[in-house]
Amino acid sequence: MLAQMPERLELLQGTLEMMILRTLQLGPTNGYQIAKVIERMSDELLQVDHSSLYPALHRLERKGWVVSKWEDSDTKRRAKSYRLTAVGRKQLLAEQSKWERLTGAIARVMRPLPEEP
Amino acid sequence: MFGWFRRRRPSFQEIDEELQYHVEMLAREGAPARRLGNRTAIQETTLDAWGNARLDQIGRDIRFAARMFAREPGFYAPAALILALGIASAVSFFSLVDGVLLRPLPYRDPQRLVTLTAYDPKPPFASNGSVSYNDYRTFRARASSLADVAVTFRTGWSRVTLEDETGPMTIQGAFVSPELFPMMGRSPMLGRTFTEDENRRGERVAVISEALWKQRFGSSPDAVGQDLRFAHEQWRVIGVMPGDFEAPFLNTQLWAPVLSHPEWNNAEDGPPQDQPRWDLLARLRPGVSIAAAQAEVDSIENALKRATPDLHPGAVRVVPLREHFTGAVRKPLLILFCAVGCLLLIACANVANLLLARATKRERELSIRTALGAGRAALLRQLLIEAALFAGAAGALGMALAGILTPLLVRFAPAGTPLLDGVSIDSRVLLFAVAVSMAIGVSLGVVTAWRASRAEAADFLKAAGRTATEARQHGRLKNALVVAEFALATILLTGAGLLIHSFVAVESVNPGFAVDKVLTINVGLPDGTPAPELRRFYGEVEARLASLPGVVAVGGISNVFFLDESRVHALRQVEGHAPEPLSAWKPLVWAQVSGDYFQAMGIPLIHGRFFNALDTPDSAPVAIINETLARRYWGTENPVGKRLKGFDPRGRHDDWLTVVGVVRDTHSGGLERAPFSQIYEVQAQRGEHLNNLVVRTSGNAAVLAASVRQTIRSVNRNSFVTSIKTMEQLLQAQESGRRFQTWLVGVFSGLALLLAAIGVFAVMHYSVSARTSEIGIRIALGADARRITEMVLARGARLAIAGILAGALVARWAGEAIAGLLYQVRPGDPWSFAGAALVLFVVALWACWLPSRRAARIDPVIALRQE
Repeated sequence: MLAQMPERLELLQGTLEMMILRTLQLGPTNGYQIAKVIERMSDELLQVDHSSLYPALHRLERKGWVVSKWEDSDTKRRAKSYRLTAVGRKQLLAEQSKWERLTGAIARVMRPLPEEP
Repeated sequence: MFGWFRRRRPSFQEIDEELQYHVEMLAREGAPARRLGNRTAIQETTLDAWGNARLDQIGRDIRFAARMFAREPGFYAPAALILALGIASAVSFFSLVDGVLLRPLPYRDPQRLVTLTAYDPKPPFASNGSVSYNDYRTFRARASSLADVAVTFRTGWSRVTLEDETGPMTIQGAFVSPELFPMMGRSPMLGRTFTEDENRRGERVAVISEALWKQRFGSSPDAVGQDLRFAHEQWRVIGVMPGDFEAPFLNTQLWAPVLSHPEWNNAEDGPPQDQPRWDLLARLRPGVSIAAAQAEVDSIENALKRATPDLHPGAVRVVPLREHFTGAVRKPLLILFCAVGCLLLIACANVANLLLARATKRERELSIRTALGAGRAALLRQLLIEAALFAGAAGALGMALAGILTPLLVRFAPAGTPLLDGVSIDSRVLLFAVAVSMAIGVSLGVVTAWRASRAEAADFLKAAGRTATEARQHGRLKNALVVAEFALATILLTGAGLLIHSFVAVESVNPGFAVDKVLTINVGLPDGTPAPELRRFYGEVEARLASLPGVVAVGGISNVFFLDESRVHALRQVEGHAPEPLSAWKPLVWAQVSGDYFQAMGIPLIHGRFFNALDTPDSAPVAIINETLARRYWGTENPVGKRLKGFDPRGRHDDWLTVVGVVRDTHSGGLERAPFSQIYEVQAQRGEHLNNLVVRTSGNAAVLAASVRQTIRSVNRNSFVTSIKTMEQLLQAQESGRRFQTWLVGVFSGLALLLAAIGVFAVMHYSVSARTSEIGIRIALGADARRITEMVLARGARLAIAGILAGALVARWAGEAIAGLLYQVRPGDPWSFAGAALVLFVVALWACWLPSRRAARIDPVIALRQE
């Protein structure tokens, strides 16, 4: 079973929070769904470390980028749902452009060397 | 949108619930719960995402401390109660001091309001604090340091009698210039105040106080435009001033334009310009100091003095308004406040000692915590938080107690204490309470923490073994606290001794007249009642009162007491006696009497006769004098038949008076002052209004009050009784300030004594248990119980004596500070000092008795086994 799993990639520092914000752009949802969505959107290539998910969510909440509320779920249990705030949305845009410049720059550095003449 | 929360630190349980959901969702997919990882670790890191780990720690410390207090209520509750009582007395006394002395008066820039008071730098000159109308105009025009000056006429005793059909009543009134109201920076709550135009035309308009408005008009807004009747005229009410507007006098109920006063309302040239019958209130210009204003006032006054020296005998002093109102009560209040401070310090020392004793018991706990890795900082924080929490709880309790004490203080405050209405527990008092509690919390924390910080973990463990040296070393701080307690208690007890001594001395003064079974009645008649009618009125009233069952004698007098009299006088002429030089002038008072005044008051006749029905307006003027006056002019000679002339400087009564009798001295100037020289004239000849009737009864005087009131009304419907009091009540009111001080300091010193006893008991008790093994060895080596008892008592006695000696030194100095409150007792009175020392010493020995018995009963075998 394990052997059939595709090779998973480790996350870069700080990218988890950015991806959480990105996920919440699609609409409010709970922590479990956030992890699922990230995994699905990355074609199962990224594996979210569930143990760092909740500290990250609470950090975002403390900064005021997301807000939370308890909602009844389809199970017997309440689920805590998170929603992007206006500040969070702005922050996501900033992170996104920073991310694009960073990956562009890294891509430029990492492009294949020209053949030796 | 509703229901979305922002930035709230979640609880541990909340995070757990969130993770639980995650786990269940994983389980639903068949994924293992361990995909989530270590749940507790996640919970902690998630909480950490919210920061504030230190606050959390402090929260835990607070919970720990609260649990500790709750576990041993038998120790902490009494300690907190002691502290709470100390805080409560300090807080409620502060509310009194704040309301009377500190809080800004309710006017615009109150620190710039002053009175200009005439005074005499040296006796023979007479001044009642007032200046002339001409001076008022001069100051107003010339003093550039004064933004404005308002003038008030002193009507007799500034009393106005309302004469409405609701029944006459006498109130505090003031004839003032219109600039008073804007100068104070207050506007009426209803209607308006009068204008300069109305004043110039002398219009009969009146502004009334909120209290009078309520009493006379039931707080109706229609009051404005209605009429009040006084001084035989109708006055239109034009405005109502708020209740806290108390100018120019405290408790002023009515203001009228100064030029509308009936005495000169119709006069061509307005008020008399050169009589000192006016009081001035002024506002300093911004930035002008009292000293600068005083300098300018001095130079103006000097110019006036050069022009008319007779009218300007003294000087004019610029006095801040607050001081003008509260000058007399300032010192006693501050002294009492210091006494309360002493009591609070004793309570703090006591509680510090108890907490230190507790800290010793907790050494095992602290040493284990240290051994388990608690840092020194953590331990200190724990101790500080405990102390702060303890002081906070005591402070809250103290605040609640102060809520009960403050109204009591106000109620029992001496009669005539100014500005008492402003005394309440408000934000300022609350702030004081919080500041005091915090200061106590920090001090207690520092004391216990300092004590703990001197010992490392190893010391703690060692100390838990209780060696004798340890006890001695750490006992030093506790001993110092006990010495301090005894020193403070000595100061309070000595002060109480001096005050009680004075109080007893005053109480045992023979006033020179009967106190029991004497009823005094303050009676009024409309101003301007003609002399013959007055004479008929007194004759009739006295006759009818005398026929009441239980009445022995009835008389009238213009003034029973001369409490405010402070001037010195001489008779203008005494037959066969040279005029007295100014330096020989002494107090001299003058009263008119009617009926059987001396018999009613029980004042015995020494020579000659009392007044009788033959002394009429047509007979030769006669006088009765007291012993002091007789001695002053005639020495041992019998003055009956001698003649004298009055001291009235205007010479209104220029007739010779023949002395027909000499009576015993009375303390008409108050119990605490030596009897004045006094002259009595008879109302029938002098013809003026008497304010007081005196009724001597055979039984309880107070029960006659109702029938006396009725009888007086039945003689003249326009007469009115302002107050009926027994002589005992009058004397008690005069001594209410002294009684208040003596009671309070007495209660404080009693509490101080109790606390000091608890303090020395706690220390000796601890010391005995700390030295159990040492004492055990002594007993094993042959010391008998008596020696052990003596040893413990001697230790306690040494502490007490050290404290008593230190306290006596301070008390000697403090005694000088309260010298003004003492009567017939010197501040260094050895009996008060010896008494305080003896009481404290005996109480200290008694408090050490129990621990010493315990020490003597120590069984050496058991004691040594503990080691």
